[in-house]
Amino acid sequence: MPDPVLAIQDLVVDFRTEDGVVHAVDGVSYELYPGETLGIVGESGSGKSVSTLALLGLIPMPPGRIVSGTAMFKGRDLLRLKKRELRKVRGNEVAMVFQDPMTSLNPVLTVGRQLGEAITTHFPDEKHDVVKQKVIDLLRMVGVPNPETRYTQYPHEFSGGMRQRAMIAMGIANSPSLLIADEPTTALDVTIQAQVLEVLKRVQQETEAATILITHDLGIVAEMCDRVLVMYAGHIVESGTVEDIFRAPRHPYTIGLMNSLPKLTGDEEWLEPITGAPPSLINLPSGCPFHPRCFLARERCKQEVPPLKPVEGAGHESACHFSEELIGRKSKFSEAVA
Amino acid sequence: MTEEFTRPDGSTGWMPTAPTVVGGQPLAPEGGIDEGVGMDAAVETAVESTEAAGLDLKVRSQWSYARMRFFRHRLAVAGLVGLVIIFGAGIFANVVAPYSYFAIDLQNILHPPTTIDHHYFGTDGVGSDEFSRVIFGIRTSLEVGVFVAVVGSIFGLIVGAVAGYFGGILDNLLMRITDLVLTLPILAILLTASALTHSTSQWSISIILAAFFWTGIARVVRGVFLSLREKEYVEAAKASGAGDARIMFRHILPNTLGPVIVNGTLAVGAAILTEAALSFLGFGIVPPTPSLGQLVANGQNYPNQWWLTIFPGLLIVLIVLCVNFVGDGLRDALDPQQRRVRA
Repeated sequence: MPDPVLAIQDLVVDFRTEDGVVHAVDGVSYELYPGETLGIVGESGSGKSVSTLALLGLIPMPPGRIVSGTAMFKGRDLLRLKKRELRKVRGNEVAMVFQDPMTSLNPVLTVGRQLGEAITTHFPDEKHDVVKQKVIDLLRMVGVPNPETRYTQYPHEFSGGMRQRAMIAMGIANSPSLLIADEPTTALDVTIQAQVLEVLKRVQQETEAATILITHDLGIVAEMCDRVLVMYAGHIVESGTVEDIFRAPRHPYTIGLMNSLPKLTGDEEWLEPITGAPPSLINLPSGCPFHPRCFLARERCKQEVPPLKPVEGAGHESACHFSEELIGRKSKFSEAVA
Repeated sequence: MTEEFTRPDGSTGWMPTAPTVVGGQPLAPEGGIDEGVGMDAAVETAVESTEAAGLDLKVRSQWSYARMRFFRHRLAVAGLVGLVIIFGAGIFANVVAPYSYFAIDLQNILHPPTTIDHHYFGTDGVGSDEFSRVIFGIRTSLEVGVFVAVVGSIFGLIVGAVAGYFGGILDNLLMRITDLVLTLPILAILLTASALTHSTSQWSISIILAAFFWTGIARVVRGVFLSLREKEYVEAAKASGAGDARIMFRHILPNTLGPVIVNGTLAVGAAILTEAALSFLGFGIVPPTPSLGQLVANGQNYPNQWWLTIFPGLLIVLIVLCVNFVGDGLRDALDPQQRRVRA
């Protein structure tokens, strides 16, 4: 196996609030290999975004605090870089595509200028004509029609899908080796979602950037990703290849997520939700954070935090004491994946 | 009423039978209705061309919208025209004024307004042409007003940007200083300062005025920065590696230009008014350099010669009124929330 692009070890991020300390990310470790797309899924507040924002130092501090952990990227620990050095990494070697394209572009600057900024921030000596040509090429690459005209337009003259394409173009402007897309399609309607994902996929193939795709849409994960991390309450509860996770989930939470989805084939009168509500991150349940909502929960779950341990399947891991009991259990989507 | 028919290309379709033949003449020749392929192509090209045309039409910057809105604001345009005429006369005072402002003509003192010898505004106590003095007075007022507005705006912009962007202690400190300056009685300080320095040149007055006129802009800019630094696009700029200075001046600053321009414009009027008040009190610009306020003050000595107070006074009113109209028009035009174009 090649060396990972990014190796995160035991990342812990806290937020100090008036009600107490929130453990937004609690001991997360994962690796990302070149050219790979890693999906991170989980409910709101499960720590998906925070775990990646922390890499780029984009967590507001205070109230945020990176308590421990390392994030090795190309031989450097991103969490310990100085502000200046980190700035050189941002947008250059590690780029980010944000959730809401409506507010992620500055309304008073032309799209061309904003994309140009992304380049000149890192290459201030680049000539204006060169930058402009590069921006136009980028816009063409992400499928914006009439890129020359679009270059001089303002964000309000772009539709939502076009803006997100522009944001993707901004992300890949400097050919990053790691692209983080934080719910890139949540703010878009379904047809546009499909187009933007297509663009993201193509761009990723062309630039060969390793990609982290944060989403709560399992459909997108199945479509786009090679590997998946399932997060719950700041912990990784399951990780594995897309096939393994969808065909044979080995964590009750993942199974719950799958069961809560409608299936296009076959009638479904009722969807099956996960019972209960996500726990308060200030006051996590003892032991396994998922035990109050879990159908497998026993006494042991209330006392011991289950570690991630290998289950069958290459690199497939689950943080459940009783994951063996799930062996043989098929997910709702097992046929769809196979 | 309908009949299945076969198109020339072999496909079949339904077409109405009865109405096709009127008075024995078929309305359309055989197969004439079927232009499916041609129609599609026509529609496609039509869509393409309107798309291209639509794009061509859409290329319009924020500024061109602003310009459009401004020029539909009648009072603002009237104000602008007024300012161009008045300030134009001031700038080209050497050409416009028939006499020098210090020319003395003792044969012609206190002459009422007349067209003879171009004494349109009459003459003053030493026979100087009042029209010429007013024109040169406009120039002085203009220089003071613009200097104060520009210097005050730039200083206010920097203070406001730093305070709003960094927040915290720095913000607190800068804003308390701003509050302090705002609470100072300008006139009293100015009177003291000019009495102390004795150098009541036009520029020293301007600098003192500018030292008071930055506060409004600083507060406005701080407010804009405070709200915009939390925006997603600022975070996106951060994520793309931009440093603080770049974010402040390249990303956020353009958003503040609207209010800054409006405030700056209004500051021109306010500065001219303050300078006039100072000069009226005799602490501003000293003769022989004329300024509008000083001309009014001078006119006070001649209660029966109305032209010596009315004309410079009228010009002060006109200038400030025009400046405020223009400022008002700019406020509407530069408001990014306002998409609507005034009818």
